[in-house]
Amino acid sequence: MIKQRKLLILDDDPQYAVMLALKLQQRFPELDVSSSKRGVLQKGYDIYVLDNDFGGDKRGASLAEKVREESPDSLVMILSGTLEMDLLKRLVNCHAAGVFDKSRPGDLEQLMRLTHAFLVQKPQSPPNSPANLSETISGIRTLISEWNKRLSFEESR
Amino acid sequence: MRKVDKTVKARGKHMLIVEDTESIALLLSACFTEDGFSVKISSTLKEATRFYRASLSSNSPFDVLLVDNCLPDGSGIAFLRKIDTLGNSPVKIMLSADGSEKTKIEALSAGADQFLEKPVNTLDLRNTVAMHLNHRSITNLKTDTPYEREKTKLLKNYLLYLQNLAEKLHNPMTYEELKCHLHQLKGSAALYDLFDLSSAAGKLSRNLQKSGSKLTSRIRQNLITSISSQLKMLTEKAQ
Repeated sequence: MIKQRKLLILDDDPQYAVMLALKLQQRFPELDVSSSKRGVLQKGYDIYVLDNDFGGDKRGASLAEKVREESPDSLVMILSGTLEMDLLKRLVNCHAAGVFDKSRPGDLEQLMRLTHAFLVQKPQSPPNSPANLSETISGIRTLISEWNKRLSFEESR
Repeated sequence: MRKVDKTVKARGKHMLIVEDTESIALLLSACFTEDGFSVKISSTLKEATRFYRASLSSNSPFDVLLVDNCLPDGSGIAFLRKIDTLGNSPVKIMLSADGSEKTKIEALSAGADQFLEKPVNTLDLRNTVAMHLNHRSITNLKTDTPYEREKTKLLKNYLLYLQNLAEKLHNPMTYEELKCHLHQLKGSAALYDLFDLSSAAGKLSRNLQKSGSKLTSRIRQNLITSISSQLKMLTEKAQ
C-alpha cells in the first residue's frame, strides 16, 4: 500500500495559510495538506512550507534546521518577503529547496513545481542525495542572483 | 419601454421571499408568480429557516431567495450565513433600506449575489433575478466544484478580514504592529489575486521602514484608503 504524502504549512497569517493549502490541495489532490499558524515544528510530514516571519520573529531558518534534523528526507521550502545573507546561508546548509516571495505569483508557481518534482521522484532518491543537493545549491545560487537584481532594482527606484 | 427579461424559464422554479412588511411581500409575490415562479413568503428568520430546511428535504430546493435585511427576529445577513452551512446554493438577493457601504460588503460577504437598496423598482428586481438565474445556469456546470465553493468561501472570509482590519487601523497602533499587518497583507492579498492591494501594502511597508515610527499615523490612513478602494472595487464588480 502506498503511504499518502503529507504537506504542512506553518504560517502565522491564517488567511494566507488556508488559501495556500487550498491551492496546493487542488493542484495535488493526492497530498494530505494541513496548516498551522503556530511556528512550532510538527513531525511526520514529507513537505514543509515554512513562513520566515512570525510576527517579526524571523523563525524560518531555525524551523528549517529543526525539520532537517527530524526528517532528513523531507522537502523544505521557505516563504519570505525579505532575504538576508544569514538566512540564505543557513538555508543552504540545511538543504532547503528554495525561498519564495509571497507577493510574487511566479514564486508560487515555482513552489508548486518543486512540490510536483518532489512528489514524482522515486522514493529511493531522497532530496538530500548528492544529485539533488547540487540542484539545491544551484537553485539557491540562482535565487541569490535573482534577489540581488531585485534589490538593486528596489534601490535604484 | 423596458421589459422583463423573459428568456429565463421561471416556471417550476421555487422562490422564498423573506420580508416582514406584508404589503411588500405580497407585491413581490404577485410579480414573481406572474413570471411563473412558485413563491413562498416568510416574515421571520425562524420561519424562513424552517421553510428552507423543508425545501431541501422535499427535493424541491429554492432557486431564488429575496431577503430583507431588517427582520423582527434578526438580520437577513445572519440568515444568509446560516443557510450557507445547510447546503444548496440558490440565487440570493438582499434587500435593505440601509444602503451603506458597510452593509453592502457584509451582505456580499455573507453570500448575497446582489444587494439592492430599498425602495426597489420591481422591474429592476425581476431583471436582476433573471440575470442571476441565467448566469447561474451557465456557470453552475463550470464552477460549482468543491474547490470553487471553498475558494469563494475563503475569499468572502478574506473580505471580512480586510473590513475588520480597516476598522482596526482607525485606532493607533505601534510601529511593529503596523509593520506586521503590512507584511502579511502584501503576501495574502497577492494570493487572493488582489494585486493592487498587495503592491500598495508593499510600498507602504517600504515607506514605513524608511520613515520609522514618525509616519505611522499617515501610513495607517493610506492603508485604510487602499483597503477601502479595493473593497469598493470588489463590491462594484460583484454587482
